[in-house]
Amino acid sequence: MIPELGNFLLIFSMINSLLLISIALVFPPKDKRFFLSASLVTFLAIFLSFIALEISFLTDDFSVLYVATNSNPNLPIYYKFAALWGGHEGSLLLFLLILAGWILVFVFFHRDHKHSSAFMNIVLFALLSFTVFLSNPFERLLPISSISGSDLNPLLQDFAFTIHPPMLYMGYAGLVIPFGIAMNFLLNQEKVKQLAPIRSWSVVSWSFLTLGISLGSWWAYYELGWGGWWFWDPVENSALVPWLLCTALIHSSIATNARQIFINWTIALTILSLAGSLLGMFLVRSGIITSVHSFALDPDRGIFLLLICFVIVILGFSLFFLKSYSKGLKTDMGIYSKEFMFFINNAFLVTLSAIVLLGTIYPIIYEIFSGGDQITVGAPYFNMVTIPFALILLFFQAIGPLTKWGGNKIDNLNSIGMIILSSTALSYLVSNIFFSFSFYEFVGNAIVLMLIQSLTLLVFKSFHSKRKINLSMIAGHLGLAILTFGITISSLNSVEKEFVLQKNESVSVGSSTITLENTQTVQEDNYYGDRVTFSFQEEDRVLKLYPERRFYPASRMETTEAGIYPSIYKDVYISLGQKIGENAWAAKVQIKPLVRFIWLGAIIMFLALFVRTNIKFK
Amino acid sequence: MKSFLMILILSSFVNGQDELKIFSFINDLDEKRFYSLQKEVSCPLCEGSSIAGSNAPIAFDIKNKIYEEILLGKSDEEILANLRNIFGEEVTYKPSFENNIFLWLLPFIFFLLILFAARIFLKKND
Amino acid sequence: MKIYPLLTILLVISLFGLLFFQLFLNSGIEEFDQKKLAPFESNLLNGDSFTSEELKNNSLSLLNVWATWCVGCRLEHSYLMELEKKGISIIGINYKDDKEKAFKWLDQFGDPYSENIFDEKGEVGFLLGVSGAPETFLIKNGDSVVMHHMGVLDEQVWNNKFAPLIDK
Repeated sequence: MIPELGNFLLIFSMINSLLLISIALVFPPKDKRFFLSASLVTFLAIFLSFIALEISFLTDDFSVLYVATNSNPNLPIYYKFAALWGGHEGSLLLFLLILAGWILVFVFFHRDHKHSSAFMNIVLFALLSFTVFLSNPFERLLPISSISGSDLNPLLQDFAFTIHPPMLYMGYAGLVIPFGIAMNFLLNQEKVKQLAPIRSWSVVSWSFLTLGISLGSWWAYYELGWGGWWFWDPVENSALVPWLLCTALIHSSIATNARQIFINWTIALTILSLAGSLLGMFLVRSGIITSVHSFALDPDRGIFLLLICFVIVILGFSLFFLKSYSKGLKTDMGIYSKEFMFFINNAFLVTLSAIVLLGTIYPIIYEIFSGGDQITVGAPYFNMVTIPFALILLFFQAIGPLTKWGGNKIDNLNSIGMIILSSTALSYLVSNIFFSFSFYEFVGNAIVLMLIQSLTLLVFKSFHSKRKINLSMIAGHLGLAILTFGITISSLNSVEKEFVLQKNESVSVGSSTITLENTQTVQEDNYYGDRVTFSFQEEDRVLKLYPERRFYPASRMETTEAGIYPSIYKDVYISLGQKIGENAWAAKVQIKPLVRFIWLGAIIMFLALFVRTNIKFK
Repeated sequence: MKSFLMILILSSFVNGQDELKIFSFINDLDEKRFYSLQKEVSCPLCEGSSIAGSNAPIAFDIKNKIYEEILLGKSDEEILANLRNIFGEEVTYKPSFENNIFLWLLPFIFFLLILFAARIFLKKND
Repeated sequence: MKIYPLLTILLVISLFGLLFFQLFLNSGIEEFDQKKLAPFESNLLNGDSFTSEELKNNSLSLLNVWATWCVGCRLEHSYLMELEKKGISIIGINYKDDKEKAFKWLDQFGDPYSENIFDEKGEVGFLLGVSGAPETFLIKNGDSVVMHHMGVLDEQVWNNKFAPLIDK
């Protein structure tokens, strides 16, 4: 009964969404409260449908096909709850819930928009129909064959991994809002001020995308067991592309709000960012690119999802080219102006997204044009190609905030010059004295120093002159600087060693010693395996690490649980390889300095969402 | 550059399987090459992992091969090319330049486009 | 500016066209990338020596990688026996296995192989590009690999991948 109710509610919300679109476009209502009530009804229907599916999960209702294939009676309650979005159909329902929620919030705060919510509902309706007709989570499994259900993939039974999709979806769905706002503006061509909310909404999306992506990276680091935190895997790239475009959108919309420039570009970017999100969702689900992540759909569903994405892009660009705005201002944009800095920002970010996107789909292009040959594009390509652009971009990030709107000479020549020179010199010295010289380390650290100095200068200046300071921007940029620092140091100074040890044997790594102390067997509800105790002796202390190898009988999967000794200065990371006989193991140790700065930086970037953009020192 | 010797090579047999040994190098640089080459080769059996991140026996075999070839003095390119011959083009993560010129040149093209666009941007407003 | 709409349409159509095309392609059968067989030498289970030169005696040879530790090999074994009855000669590659156990296995379940290469360390397998067991190769004229199937060999796989090449 409950699943049928859930299904009904979903269909109801689909019809409701269609109604909102039709009424808005055909008989624009005089009373703007219509949009609020319609959006509320849609949201409530999807919310209750979501609850219905959760009830099925929490009561182990294995007559529902989706529950049977994604859950198991032995799962702890929290993981049963999260299992709802562990598969394709359920995760779509979660996405729909979040999208409907964002639309409701938008309509609540912006009652004066004529067609914005209608455009947002076009996306919602398309995905609702796809879910109802082609990916329905409420489908029944009759007759009920498996009472025990299958199991949630053991890799996914993890807290970080369960909140990673919801956070990503908050970001992806959030990008529908700027799209709606932009389309509404094109249609009605009212005041440019109507585009203003794009800035706040893109910051919201960006923050959640940042959190979602870094949770994924963090999870991969400690759960997959090999010490990597970014693999340029197609699914990771699918999230990175919208993130890059969203970053560009934030800056473009700031320029639009401040100086009424880049108007058409901001609008086009909203289409591109949404397209990036939808395409990303398609790539993950269609199985078109093999990856650890993909949901592996059958091609029919993939075709429809791609079609939805295609139609929305065509709709967006048609409206864009038919009605592009021609009354934007032309202001002084010399090479030393903030306007130019924003141009560079957008140019580089969009270029980076294009490169990442191209690298990701290149294997498809290659396969088609070479008549079936396969090729893999991985980390070596992406690293080589994106790092130079990223470094140049970060350099401008340091200088940019110090420039002025309409500036046509170097206003802060002295400060900027000093920052560049001192950072370069300091980084060069440190690189040569403390480490063997590495070009990228030198450049990376120089740029981080520039970023820190530039931010510090900004804070001091507004403190002195009592002018407003954009703390949100400071936090966002600071977070990125810390992240960059973490990446530079950990990537270029990591030490790794593979070894084989018997019980009580040791091997030296740099100036430290690792000893294999003991092997024990472990047994839990849904897995069993081996747990090895290692001691890691540094100059003045001994650390203990406990890597494991586990076997999950229900899904017949073996996993490697790394033994990690974390600290803000470095991580010591041991992963087990093969067991040899009874007491000896092949294993690998890695020492990764400052790797935690990466996620520290990401958290700070996320927290930028909660800080105000205009704080005045008194 | 200091050079250092690691622990003795250890042999043991497991269920009639192959010998497992520590990969010891005389040369610091060779050791670095060994670990970075691993990250450039994907494990043929597992989707999405490099051999650095895989416990599959074939991953170990390939690591062994890389180790042997480094000791034989082969260059990185030779080692990767050999693996491509055996396992197919898709086993390495870095696409070869000759066959994929478009892919490698595109970033440069983008950079030139940016310069070009910057010029237009600045000229428009003098 | 007329060029921007045209350029955008071009890019959008190419990108989506590519992805749609690939989706349709995925439902079709992939063409196999032929490659040269690297020459190798080994011993057979019965102790005799073996070199890949011997494969040149036949226009087509079927090589099957198996082991006693391999669960899938148990599953495909009965089909291999069927193939043998049909007169198809299969050369086994006993991969990373124990000789005693291999003999026991063949005694217990039957021996579909005309000969069995004893690849204790997996060296032959490595040259062929083997990542595990079971795997099956079709070799033409003793020097090129014209088919490589990873996984259990059953009737469906045989009809889709191997039979068309053999009938030619």
